[in-house]
Order: sequence, then structure tokens, then C-alpha cells
Amino acid sequence: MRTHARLLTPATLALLTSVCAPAAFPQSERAPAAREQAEAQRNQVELRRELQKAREQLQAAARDVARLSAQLVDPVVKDVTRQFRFGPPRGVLGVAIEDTELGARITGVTPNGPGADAGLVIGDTIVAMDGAELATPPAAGAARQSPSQALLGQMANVAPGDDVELRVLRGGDYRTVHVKARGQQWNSFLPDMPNLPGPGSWPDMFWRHNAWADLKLATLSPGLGQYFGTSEGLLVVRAPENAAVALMDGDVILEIDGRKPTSPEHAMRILASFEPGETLHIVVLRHQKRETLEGKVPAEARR
Amino acid sequence: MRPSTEDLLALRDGEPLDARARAKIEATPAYGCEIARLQRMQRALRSLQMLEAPPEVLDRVLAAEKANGVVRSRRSWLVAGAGVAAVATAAIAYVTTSGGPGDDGEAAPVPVVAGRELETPLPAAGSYGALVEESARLERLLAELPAQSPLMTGATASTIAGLEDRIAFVDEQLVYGAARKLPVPQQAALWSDRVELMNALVNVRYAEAQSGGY
Repeated sequence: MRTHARLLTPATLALLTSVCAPAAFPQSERAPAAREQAEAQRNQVELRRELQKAREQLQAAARDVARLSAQLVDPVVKDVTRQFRFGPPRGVLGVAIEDTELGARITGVTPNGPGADAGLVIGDTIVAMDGAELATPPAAGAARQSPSQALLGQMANVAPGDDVELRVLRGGDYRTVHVKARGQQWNSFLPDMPNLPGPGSWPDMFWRHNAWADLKLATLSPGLGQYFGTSEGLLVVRAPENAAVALMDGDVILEIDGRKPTSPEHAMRILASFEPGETLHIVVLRHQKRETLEGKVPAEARR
Repeated sequence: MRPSTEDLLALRDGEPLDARARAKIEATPAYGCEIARLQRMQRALRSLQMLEAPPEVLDRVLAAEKANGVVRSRRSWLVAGAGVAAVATAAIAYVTTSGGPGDDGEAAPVPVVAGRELETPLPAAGSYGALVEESARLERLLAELPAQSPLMTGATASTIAGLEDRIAFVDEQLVYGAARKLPVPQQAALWSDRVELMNALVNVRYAEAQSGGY
């Protein structure tokens, strides 16, 4: 019996080894693989965190650049503001121009401005606006107007939202471009001067939204819009913790005080127009039902 | 009648030209050759690579400036360098378009920068033409970036909106500046601000473009 057992033992061991070995080896291989995967995931998380930190530093640097550059050019801006009386709010085209013999040549197109939306590009020459040529000989007894003066003169009659028809020369061809004029957004940029509207302290005035900094918004894609039951609005991906208004993750912002935000930047522009202490109404779609949220803009929103 | 320098420049730059002047130029082989030569020169100038000083040179210059009590940003030096390059380019353009001063007894043409005659000398630190060109380059860069991510934090959206609105403000000042003949150094200062803002916007947008999707 003992001999039999002795004979069985190596056979049993061999059998066990043959059965268990294939399973045991992958297990021992899988353990380091799982460790590597976990390590890689940790690295990814760490990298994402560092990338986010770098982005925040970059944005802070960008704001510093804008602030310092604005301070540097402030005397010129004051001078321009003193020399040229900025009249009542009127529409703007969102381009920088210079005079040529043929018209007003575009030397800069404001990013995301009305001119950019209409497809104007640097090098275009605006030869006529709403049918009136910009480079024309002066009428008898009148002083000659430069194309830029003619353009500015005509823009005095253009209100925000008006459609402006431009005749544009590009690469030897003439074309018609329609621009929807926008309002001036920059009272806060004007230097602090008496008798001028909206004295502000750029850029603190604009970048004061501590309360909204961690709000995460997404523009709705058609698919998401269908899911939420709306074709417009901004999806709140992450609601801010200490905001004036009790937004929730998953809300779709439809209106901010009657204005419909079309992009996260637009939403921030609207929110920036509120003074601390003012009451804010935000219409949201929550669980596919419209709700109006109300709150006061906190004082700490201003930097 | 000889075609004017303005006619030749207009033909070279593909701008509209009086039909009689065009016919005269096209009928004269010598002018055709000259236009072809200018266009070759233009292409060659455009293909020149941007040169950057080695970093240690910049550090030494900054250290020396600091020692003198004047600290400038790296950006200012790049813009100043671009200004020097623009002046050099304008000078080359002047020589190539005029064939050298006084070569045929006519008055030498006025150098043209960005479509405008230089009525006053370039500002020492401004270099108007270079700033306009740098601003245009940054606009092209911005246009080439991928579409903006649909997902954005409030901080990022505020930063971008603030930069864009400030650029809009500067552009409107430039419109007034053009209409009211603001002196070139003041216009250059506004362009310098625009370049700084555009550069900041390109950087922020580029960083955001690295993470698309929801």
C-alpha cells in the first residue's frame, strides 16, 4: 500500500503539475501585466492633472500678458479716446483697416467677430458699403474723405444686429459680403476717464468670475440635443460648487436673464455683465422640464 | 509713356490695373522679364526661414539689459527682431523694385510697407509693418487650429472671451486711428498690443485644442 502510495505520489504530482501549470503561469504573468496597467493608468491620471495645471498656468500667463500689454498701451488708448469722441453705441464690423486708393484694406480680422463670421479675410479691400463707394472724389466744396473716414461715417448709422452689405475686392475679383454688425462690448476697456461711459478697470472687470471658474459647459451636439430634448442651450457638465445659482450637473442652460447663450464664451460674457449683488435668473432644462433658477451674484465674484 | 512704379507693383501683387498700362507692360518684353524677376524674388523672400537667436545669446542680452535697469519681455525682443527683419525686407524690396536709387535719373520711389507710404520714420520700438505682418501670421495660425472643443471650463471660456473682446476693442481703435490719421508710432503701439493679445489667444486655444470631445 505504501509502495503504491509512493508510486502514486509522483504521478499525482505530475498530473497536478500538468493540470495546474498552464493556469499558474498565466496567473503569474497576469499579475505583472495588471500592475503595469494600473501603473499606466496612474501615469495617465497624473499626466492629465499636470496638463490641466499647465493649461491653467498658461491661461494665467495669457491674462497677465493682456493686462501688462493693456497697461503699456494705456496712454495711447487714453489719447485716442480723448481725440475721438466715441458716440453712442453703434454696430461694428470686427476688422482693422487702412486706406488705399481703392478703398479700406483689411489688415486684421477680430477673432470670432462679425467680420470673421462673414468670411472677411486680411487683404480684402472694402470698396463699397451698402452701395456707397468708399473711395470717391469729394463733392464740390467738400473736403476729401478717406475710405476709412467714409466707412466710419456710414457705420455711425448702423445699429447692432443690422445687416451690412459690403462690396469687397479679393485677389482681383469683386464679391458681395453680408456682415451682421455687433454691438460694442468694451465699455470696460475704456480708461477711467470722466464723462465717458462705463469706466472700468480692465481686465479685472472681465476676469472676475471666480464663482464660475470651475463651471464646465459643453455646446450641445445634435445627438446630445436630441437626448436632452432641445436643439439649443449649453449643457452643464460640472456645476460650480459655490455659485450664485444652484445649477446641477446635467442641466441645460437655455437663458441667462433673457439672453440665449450660444457658446461657453458667450455665457461668460453674459455672466460678466452682472455686478455683485445683482439678481440673476437662469432658465434651465432639468429632467426635460423648464425651471427658472434665481440667485444673487456674490461679492466675491469680483477679484 | 513708361509705366509707373505703382503700375509695376500693382501688376506684381496681382492688383487691378488700368487696361492701357497693362497692355503697355505686356507688350514690352523687358517689363515682363522684370515682373517675373520680382515675383521670383518675392517667392524667395517668402520662403526664407525665420531665424531665432540661440537661447544663450538672448539670456546674455537680457542679463545685460537687467544690469542696465531695463527689463523687457522675451516677446518684445522677438517683435523687435521681426521689426529689423521687416525693415531689411522693405529695404530689399526697395532696391529690387527701383533697380537701385537713381538708376535712370527718375526720383527714387518711396518704400511701401503694408500698402501705405511711410510718411514718418518707423518708430524705434514699434516697426509698424512688422507688427501688422506678425499679427496677420498669428491670425493664420489661429485659423489653422482645429475647431474649438465643445467642452470648456468657465475659466477657459472667460480667458478666451476676454482676449477676443480686447482684440475687438483694439481693432476699433485702429479703425479710428486710420480714419483720423493717428501718428504711426501710436498706431504701432496699438498693433503691438494686438500682437501680444493674438499671441496669448493662440497659445490658450492651442492648449485647449489638445483635448477635444466631451
